[in-house]
Amino acid sequence: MRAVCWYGPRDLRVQEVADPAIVQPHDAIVRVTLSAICGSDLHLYNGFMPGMRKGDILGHEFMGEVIEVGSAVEHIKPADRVVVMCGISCGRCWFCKHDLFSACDNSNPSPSADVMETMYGHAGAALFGYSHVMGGYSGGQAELVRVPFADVGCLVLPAAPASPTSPASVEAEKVLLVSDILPTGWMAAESCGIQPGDIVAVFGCGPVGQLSAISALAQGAERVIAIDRVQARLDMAGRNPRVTALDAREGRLLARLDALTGGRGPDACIDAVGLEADGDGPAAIYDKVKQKLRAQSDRPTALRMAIQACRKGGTVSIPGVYGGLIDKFPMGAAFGKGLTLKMGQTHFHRYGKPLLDKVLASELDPSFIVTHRVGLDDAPDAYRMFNAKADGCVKVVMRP
Amino acid sequence: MNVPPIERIATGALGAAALTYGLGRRDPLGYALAAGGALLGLRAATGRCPGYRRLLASTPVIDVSRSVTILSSRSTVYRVFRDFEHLPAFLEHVAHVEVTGPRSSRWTIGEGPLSLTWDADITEEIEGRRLAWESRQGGGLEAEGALELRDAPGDRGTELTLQLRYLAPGPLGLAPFRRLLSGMTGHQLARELGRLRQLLETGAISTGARRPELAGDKETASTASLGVSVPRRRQVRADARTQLTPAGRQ
Repeated sequence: MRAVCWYGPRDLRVQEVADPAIVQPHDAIVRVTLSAICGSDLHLYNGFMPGMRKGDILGHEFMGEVIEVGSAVEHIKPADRVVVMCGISCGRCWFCKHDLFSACDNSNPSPSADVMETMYGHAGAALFGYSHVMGGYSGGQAELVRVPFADVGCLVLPAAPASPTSPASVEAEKVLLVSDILPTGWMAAESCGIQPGDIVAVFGCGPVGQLSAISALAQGAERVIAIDRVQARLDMAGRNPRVTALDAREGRLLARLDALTGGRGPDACIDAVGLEADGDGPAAIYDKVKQKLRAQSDRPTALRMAIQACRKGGTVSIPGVYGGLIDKFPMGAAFGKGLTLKMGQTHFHRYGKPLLDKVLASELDPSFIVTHRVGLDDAPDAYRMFNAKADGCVKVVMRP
Repeated sequence: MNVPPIERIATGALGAAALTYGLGRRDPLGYALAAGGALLGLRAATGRCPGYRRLLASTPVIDVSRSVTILSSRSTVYRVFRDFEHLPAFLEHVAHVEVTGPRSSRWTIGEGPLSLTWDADITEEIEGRRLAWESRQGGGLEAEGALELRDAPGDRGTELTLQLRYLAPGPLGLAPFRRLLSGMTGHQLARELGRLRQLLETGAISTGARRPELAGDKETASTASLGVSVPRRRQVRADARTQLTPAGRQ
C-alpha cells in the first residue's frame, strides 16, 4: 500500500510499504477512504516530538471501510463504514471505565513510553501515527490501517448517507472531523463550564480554534472572541455573526479584550495554539530563541496571554498541545485571579458518538474549516502549505 | 576476606616460589619477581585481594521494585505468579522457567551458551498476599524476588509490588550478567508489569506493530499463556455512548 512516511523534520515521502495485518484478536484492518492532516501533525513535521523513527506512517484523523476483523471483535464487521477515534483506548482499564480514555493504561506499550514516564510521571494513551512515545502505531495517512481495540474506537456510520441532498463526499468530510478535532473543540468548550451570558475568547483560529468557537456557541456562550494572526483564519471565524475576530498583530490585545468585555475580561479563555505559538515583542522573541537553543521545549506565548486576559475566577481551557517545559509562566496572575486551568488530551471516545449523531442530524457542521482537498501523493506539498499557513489553508483532507 | 581458601593456598605456594627463585637470581628481574611473590604471599596470608574487591565493587547489583494496579482479583494475580512457568509470558527478561518441585523452580535468562540458569526455592508464601523466592547457593546467578499483593481501594482492583534483585555470583559471571541484564531497569520492570496488566485486562499484549512478524514473539501471547481463566470484562465502546453530558468524573 501507499503511505505518508516521516523521514525527518520537513522530510515526508509517499512510499510503497507492506500492508498491515491483524496482529491481535481485537484488531481490525480498515481501508481508508478519507484522512486529514491535523495541526498536531505539524509538531511531528517540524521535529518537536521525540520518538519518531524513519519510515513511521503519519496520520490520526481517518475514516474508511472495515475489510477484516480479528477473532475477538464483536461489534464491527467487514464492509462497515467507520470513523475511527484518533486516540487508542482499550475500553477495559480503570481509566477507560471512568471516561478518562486519553489516560488509558494499556494502549501505549512502547519502550519509549519511558520518556513519558520520566518526564510526566505516568504514560498516557497511545495515538495513531504519533511517534513511538505515543505507542508506535502506524497512522491513517495511508491506504490501509491496523486499528487495535476496534470495537472500542470505531464509530459505525449508517449504511447510506443520512440525507439524499447530501452526497457521500460532503457527508464524509463532516463525519471525518469527528475522529479528532470536533471532540477536541467540544471538550475545550465543555471545560469552560459555560454559563448563560459568558463571553469566551479563543486564542488561535486553526481547526481546533474554529471548532472550539462553534462548540462554545452551541453550549450557550453569549459571544465568542476569536484571536489569530492570519487574515484568512480570522475571516473564516468572523463569518459567524456571533464571533468577533481580533487580529493579534494589531497589538494591545489585552486592552482590546477588556474593551469588548466591559473591562471584565473574557469569562473563559481557550488556548487552541499550543507549543508553537507566535507573537510579538520581547517575550515572543525570548521564547523563540530559548526554543531554538533547546533551553525550553515549548513556546507559551498564547497561554500567557490567555491567563492574563481571563476575568477573575474564570477558566482557562487548554486543548493546545504542550510537550515539555515552559518558562515565565504567569502563576501569580493565575493564582491572584483564582483561575481554573483545565487541559489535556481529549477523551475522544467520550464525545465521538454523540457528536457524530449531531453532525448526521445537521445540528453541527464542522466541515466549513476544510479548505483543501488533495490526493495522498500530494501530502508533502500539503504539509508544507499547511505549515506555512499559506493559501488560506486551515484544513487539508486527503483521499488515498 | 574475599579470596576463596583453595585460591589462598595456590596463591601462597606461587608467592613463595617466586620469592625464593627471585631472591636466588640476585639481579633486578629477580628482585622484581621476589617483590611480586611477597605481594602474593600477603594476599594468601590475609585472604584479601584489592583487585577482586574493585572488580566486585563494580558488579552491578540489580535491585528494582515497581508497583502497578490491575483490575483483577488478588487470587487471580497470585495464581499467575505462584505457577512460575507463566512468568515469561510477561516478564520479558526471563526466557524460561521450569517448575521442578512444589517449592522449587529452574530459571533461565538468555539463550544458548550465553544464558544464565539457576535454581530457586520459595522462601515465603502467604496465600494470596505474599510470595518470595531465592536462588540456591552455587548457581549461575544470585537472584531474589518478592511479590506483595494488596486490595486497591474502591473499584481499582489489586495493587501489586514486585521486587527483583540480581547479583553475579563471582567475577566469571560478570560478562554474561552485564550482557543479559544491563537493560533491567525500573522502567523495564514497569513495562513488564504493564504487559501483565494488558493480558489480564484486555486479553492480549498491546503492540504498535503493523504486522505480526514486526511484533516480538512474546507480543502475541494471550491470556491463556497465564494459565488462569479471566472473566471477559465488559468493554466501554465509543459507539455505545449516547449522551454528551459527562457521566464520569472530569
